[in-house]
Amino acid sequence: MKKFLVFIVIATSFLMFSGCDFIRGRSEIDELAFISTVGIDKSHKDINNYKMTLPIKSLKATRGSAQRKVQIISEEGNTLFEIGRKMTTYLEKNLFWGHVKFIVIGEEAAKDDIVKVFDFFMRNNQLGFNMKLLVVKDGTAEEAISKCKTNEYFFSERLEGIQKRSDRNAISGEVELLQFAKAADSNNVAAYIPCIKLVNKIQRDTDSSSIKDIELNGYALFKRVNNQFHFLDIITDEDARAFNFVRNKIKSGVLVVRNFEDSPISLEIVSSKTIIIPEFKDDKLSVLIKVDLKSNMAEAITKENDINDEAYKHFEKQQEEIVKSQIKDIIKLAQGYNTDIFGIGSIIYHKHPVKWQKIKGTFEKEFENIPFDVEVKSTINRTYEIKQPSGSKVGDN
Amino acid sequence: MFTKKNNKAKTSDEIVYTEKINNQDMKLTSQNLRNLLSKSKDIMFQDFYINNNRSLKVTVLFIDGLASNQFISDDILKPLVENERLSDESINIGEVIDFIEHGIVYFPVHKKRIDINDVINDVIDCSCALIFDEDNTAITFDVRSFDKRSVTEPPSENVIKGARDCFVETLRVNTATVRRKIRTANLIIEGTIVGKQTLTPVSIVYIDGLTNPYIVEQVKERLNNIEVEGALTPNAIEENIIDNIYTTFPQIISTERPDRFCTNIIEGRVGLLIDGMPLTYIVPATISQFLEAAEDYSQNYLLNSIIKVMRYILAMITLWLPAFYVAVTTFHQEMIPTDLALAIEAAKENVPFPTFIEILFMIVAFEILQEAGVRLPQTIGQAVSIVGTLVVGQAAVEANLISPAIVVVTALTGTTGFTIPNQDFTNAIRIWRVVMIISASILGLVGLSFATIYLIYHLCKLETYEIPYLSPFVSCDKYNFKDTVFRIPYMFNKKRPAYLEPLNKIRHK
Repeated sequence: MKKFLVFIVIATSFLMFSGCDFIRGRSEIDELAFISTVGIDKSHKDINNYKMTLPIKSLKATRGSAQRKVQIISEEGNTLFEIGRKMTTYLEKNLFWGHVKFIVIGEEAAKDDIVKVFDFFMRNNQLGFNMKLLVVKDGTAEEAISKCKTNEYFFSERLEGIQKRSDRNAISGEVELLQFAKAADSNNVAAYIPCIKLVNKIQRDTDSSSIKDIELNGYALFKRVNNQFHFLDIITDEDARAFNFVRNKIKSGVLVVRNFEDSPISLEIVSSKTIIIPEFKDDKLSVLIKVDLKSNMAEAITKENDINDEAYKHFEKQQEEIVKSQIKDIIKLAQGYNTDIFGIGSIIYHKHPVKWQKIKGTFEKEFENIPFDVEVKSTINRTYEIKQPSGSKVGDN
Repeated sequence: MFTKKNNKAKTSDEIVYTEKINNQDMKLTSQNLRNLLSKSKDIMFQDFYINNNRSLKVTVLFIDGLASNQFISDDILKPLVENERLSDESINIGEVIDFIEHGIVYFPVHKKRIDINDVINDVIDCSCALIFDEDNTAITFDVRSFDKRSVTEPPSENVIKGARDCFVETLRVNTATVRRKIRTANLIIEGTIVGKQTLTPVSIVYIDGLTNPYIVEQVKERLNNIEVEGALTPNAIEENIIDNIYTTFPQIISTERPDRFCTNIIEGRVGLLIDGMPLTYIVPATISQFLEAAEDYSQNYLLNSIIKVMRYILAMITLWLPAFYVAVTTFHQEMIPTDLALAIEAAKENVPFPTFIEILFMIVAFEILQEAGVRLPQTIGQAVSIVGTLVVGQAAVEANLISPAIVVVTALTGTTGFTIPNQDFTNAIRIWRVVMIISASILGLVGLSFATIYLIYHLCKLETYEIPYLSPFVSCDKYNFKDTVFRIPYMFNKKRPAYLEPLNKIRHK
């Protein structure tokens, strides 16, 4: 009986507790402001301060339909945490960081030791390490967030769609916070973050100047020198693709070659595999980059009836040359900055750990002198539904 | 904390029969019986002279309505009056009894009684007694004849494919049904009596040489030790023969389907048939059996395997879904996809109550509707469900009392609950569901985990007839596993469940 009474008391008190507010970490879902993008810029007033821009998403449910709404708020302060707390003084809801998917950094903020701003996101227990990082080329994050939302899509949704299809052109990619943090903490790897640019591409009926479009193109490269994170460069288009080639991140893409009559032929990359082989000859390091590239013929702007084995060889040769020269260009760029942006140091460490210990100290300095060799194995698999272009056969009837 | 072994095993030799009317010192005479029984109008006494011989007086005793008048007059009294062998003047009562015992009356079964208590018990159990005052002897004939329900389709365990018969309220009909399904001579149907006032006959059914004798002995012992006035409701017996009464989980399977009953008997379990109840019991029960439906073994085994696996998943959903919803929406909002979180937020914007109260309100409302629907006649029951759906579902949402997501969660919880074939098990889960919700509302998923751990601990502690309740999930025997979560074809199902420890472990080669 006594036990039963104890049970009753415990059960009822549990029932009472569940309505209490003193439980930490508990909050009703309608008291939260959901953020999916965080924009970080340098403050204009004080160069040491940051400016954070948050788009707060909400749905207004009216009978039968729900209207999407986004409020954009900006605040300046010494630290991001301070800014977040400042915002609560005028927000009716509590900021909820758990849904942050993108961290967008203005170019100016990116140039000033970018790692510093990520501390808040790594320390926060509501957040995971899987946020995607982006740098706004020639612009600020605030501008990107406030100008790139449309009536139908929030900024983060547009970005999500664009980034998901970044492998179509292979000139950019995805970088998560964890990946960046690892690179930032390691000695040998330079870090890179995809870039967006604000452009006007899509035609709209309404006043189009207020709405801008996002173009995902290229990477911003960073290098670590004595605990300082230096902004190196922004690479775009062919350079960015060659960068992806070396890093073995190519899933698809377009290469244009010419036929014998100098008409353009489009090749669609269907698979590409890159192996980086560091070799030591008499303790002299050389690096071989081997690319195995397979593509299909996607389009031929020609009327010539000349798609044959000979033409295939011709295209394959050209494809090989294009990729080879582009890769050599990006290597030259990396050697110009004397920075191992491809992570070759870690490959050497894993393949030749003993020899790595010897060259570790001078690797950064000697990077520009390492001889690189590029081998491209180029294959064209097929031409899809038709082989010869339509209209190339004349006089059969 | 609140579990104690229902340790009522008393070692006494007294059997229940002696607890009935006890008139040990009374002589077996018609006058004594009249004194004891003649208050009731339906108990009939009739004096006869055998072959009109006044020296051969016999008293016929039976209960009107229970005994067949036709049997008594045609097969018992008529031969006694008309048989020529009894017309001898010199014949005495002793010889008459001898003649009756050896076939002068046209009746296959009789019992010779010299104890007055036995006679009373036989008469109450639908017999007709011939009482010979001179010898203090009685002969009883089982002439039972009363109205009984005919065998119908099982109302609650219906199947499309398979047997359509059903147990009825009459014990003898049920034993006959079992006999007709299991024709081995090893099938034993033992009897005992339960209930101080009702004296309900209960039959214990098992197969000799197959069923674990320990279980049989335990069942008999527990039945004999039952201390109840009447075995009129199912639980009067159920609660007395289970191991642990401090639990919500059923520890005994009840079925109204003879085929299911017999399947369990030949698997090595012990069955109970109770007079006056169309329900039969099977012991010992393990948790996997409550998730087995009547039709499981009449469909394609692949399809059934999928359905069985789904049933386990759905049982988990009905247990955890509302609690999970509470935990996720009040503690772990980062787990919800952003778009869904926004939709839930938008719907909840104007609702004044916390999610916990909302969901508790809806769960209680659902229970009310279910309870109302069960008790009402079928025609009104439908009206209740319509009103319930409209009022609780739509109106409550429109009045901003609850958010629509809660309605979806509750509806899903309720419907998945209905997929559990056993109502007792559903009820057990109904109670634990609320425990889960409360724990989740206090500590989120951590609380939910604590409650779940306690539930698993509780289930692990349960035993029925010294067999773990969670068998075969707690054993390392992979063979039992095959036919539990999945259903394997009959030809591969070669062994009986090992946890039952049957004497014969092999079903077939």
